[in-house]
Amino acid sequence: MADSAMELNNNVGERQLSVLHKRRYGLSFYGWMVIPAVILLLAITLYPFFWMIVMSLFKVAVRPGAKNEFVWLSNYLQLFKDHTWIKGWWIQAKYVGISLTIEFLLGFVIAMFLNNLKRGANILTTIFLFPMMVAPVAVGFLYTYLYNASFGWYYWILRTLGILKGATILGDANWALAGIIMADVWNWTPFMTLVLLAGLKKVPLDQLEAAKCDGAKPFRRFIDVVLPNMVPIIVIGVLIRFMDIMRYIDKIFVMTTGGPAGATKTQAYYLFQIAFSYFELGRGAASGFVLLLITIFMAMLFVNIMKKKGVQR
Amino acid sequence: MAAESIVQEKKPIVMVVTVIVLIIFFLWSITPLFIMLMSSIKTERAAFSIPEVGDIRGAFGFFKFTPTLEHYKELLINEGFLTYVWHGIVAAISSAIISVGLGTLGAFGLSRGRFKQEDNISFWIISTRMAPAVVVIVPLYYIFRKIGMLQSIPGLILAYTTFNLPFALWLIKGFFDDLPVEIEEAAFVDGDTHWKVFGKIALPLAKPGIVAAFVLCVLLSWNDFLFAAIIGGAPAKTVPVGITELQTTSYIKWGPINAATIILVVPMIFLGILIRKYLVQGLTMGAVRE
Repeated sequence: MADSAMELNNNVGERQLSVLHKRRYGLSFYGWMVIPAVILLLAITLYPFFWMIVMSLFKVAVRPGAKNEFVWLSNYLQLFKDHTWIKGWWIQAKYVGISLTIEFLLGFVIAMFLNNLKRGANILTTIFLFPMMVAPVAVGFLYTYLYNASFGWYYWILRTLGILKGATILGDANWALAGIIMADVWNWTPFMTLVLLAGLKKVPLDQLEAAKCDGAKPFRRFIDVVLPNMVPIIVIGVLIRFMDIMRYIDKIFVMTTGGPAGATKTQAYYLFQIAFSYFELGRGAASGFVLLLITIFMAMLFVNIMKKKGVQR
Repeated sequence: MAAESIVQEKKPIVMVVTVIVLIIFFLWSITPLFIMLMSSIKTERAAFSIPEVGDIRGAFGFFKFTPTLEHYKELLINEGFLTYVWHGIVAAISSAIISVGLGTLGAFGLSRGRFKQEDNISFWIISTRMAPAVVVIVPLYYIFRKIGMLQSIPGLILAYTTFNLPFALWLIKGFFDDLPVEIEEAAFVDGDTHWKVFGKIALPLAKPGIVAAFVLCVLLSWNDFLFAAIIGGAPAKTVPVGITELQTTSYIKWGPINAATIILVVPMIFLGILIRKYLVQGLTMGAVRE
C-alpha cells in the first residue's frame, strides 16, 4: 500500500537551494517542523504497538495495578486451539471478500454509467455519496430497522418479492451475514464509485480514439484501454476498502453482536469480545497482533499481484 | 465533455439503460435514509404499521401520517442527548485542531525537507492509519488505564488523534507537494524567514486542503463508535454511543433511535457536500485526485 501511494505522491523533485536546509541544533528548519507530530505519533501509536507485543506475552490482570503474569506464547497457543477464533477467520474472510467484490463491481458499473451522462452527473454523484457520510453505528440501526420482521420495509419487500422465505433476517444464521453485507454495500459502494469515476475520467482520450479508429469494439476497448489505465486506481480503491472493512466492527456490534449462534462473529469482533467482554487483554493483544500481521500481509500481496499485472500489459 | 462525445456511443438504447440503472441506484441510496427521516417524525404506531406481506397497495399508507416531534423531544430532554452532542463536538473539533495543527507543520516539513529516512518515516505514518481500530484499542486501553486517562474527554481526544494525525499529515502533505517550490525559494532569497515563507506563501495556497483535512477529521471522529465506547466511557459519551444505549435487552426505543440517527447524519452530509471537491483525494489519503 505504502509503496503505491508513495509513488503517486512523490512527484516532488530534488530541492536545489541548500541555504533552505541549513541545520540549527542538528536539524534543518524542516526537520524541526516534523518533530512535534513525530513525537506525538511515537507516543500514541508506536508506543502502544510496542505494548501490544509485550501484552500478548502476559496474562494481563483484570484489576488495574495488580501484577501481570508472564506466560510466554500461551496466549497465541490458546488462540490456535480456539474453534471460535479459527471459525472467526473464515467468517471474516467471507464478510470481507463478498462485501469487497460486490462493492467493487457495483461501484465500477455505476461509475461507468455516471461517466456516460452528459448532464446532471455532478449533482447525482453528490447525492450518491450520502450513505458514505452515515456513521457505521447508524447504518447498523438503519438496517436493523429495515430488516425488522414486524415493521421493517426491506423485510416486507424481500418477502413480497418472494426472495426471503424465513420469518427473520438477522436472526437466521444463513441470512444474518448477508444482511450485514448488504448494509456495508449500501454504506461504502459510493466510495468505490467516486474513486473509480475519478479514474475513468483520467483514461487518455487519444488512446480510446486510436483504439476506435483501429476498429475495436466497445468491449475490447474496455479490456485493452480502460482497464490497464485503471489498474493503479483500482489497487488504491480496493486496498483502502479492504483496510477499512478490517477496521470496523460497529455494524456487527449493533446488528447481531456476533449472533445468531456465532454466525456473524468475525475474527475482529471476537477480538473485541475477548478484550472487552471477557477482559482478557493479553489474549486480545495476541489476537490483535495476528490480525495486524495478516492485514499487512494481504495488502502487500495484493499490491504485488496488481503491480505484476500492470507490467504485463 | 465535448471531446468525450467523439469516442462515446450516443446510441439511445445506451442512454436509456444508463438512466434506468442510475434511477435504481438513486432509489437504493436514498430510500433507507428517507424511511428513517419519515419514521423519526411519525408516532411509533404510525411507523410500525406496515401492510401485510404481498399487499402492495397497502404500501402507500407509508405517506399517511401526522408529523410529530415527540421523538426529538424525548431524545434531547429525557435521554440527555444534548450533552452527547456537546461531547461529540468538543472531542471531534479538539482532535481535529491538534491533528491539523501538528499535521500541517509536519506535512510542510516532510514535503520540503531532505531526510535520510524519508521513506521509512512516510511508511510508518501511513501504516498507523491502516492499523485496524480493534487492534489499536487494546494496548491504548491498557496504557490509558495505567495513566488514568480512561473515561475522560482528554483521553478520547487523544484516542481520536491516533487516527486523525497520520491522516491529516498525509493528506496535507499531498497538497504541499503540489505547490511550486520556486515561489518559496524566491521569497527566501529576497530575505524572508522560513516562518514567513511558510505563513505568507505556502499556508494560504494549501488552505483548501487544510480545510478539507479538518472537516474529514471532524467527520471521522464524530462518526466513531469504538473509541468513544471503550476509551471515552460514561463521562465522554458521544452520539453513536448514546444511540446504542437506546437498545436494551427488553425493548428497543425505535422512535428516539431514528431521531438520533437523523441528528447524527444530517450535519455530516452537509460537511460532505461542503468538501465534495476534495472528498476523493481526502478519503484515499491523496492517492487519487479528481
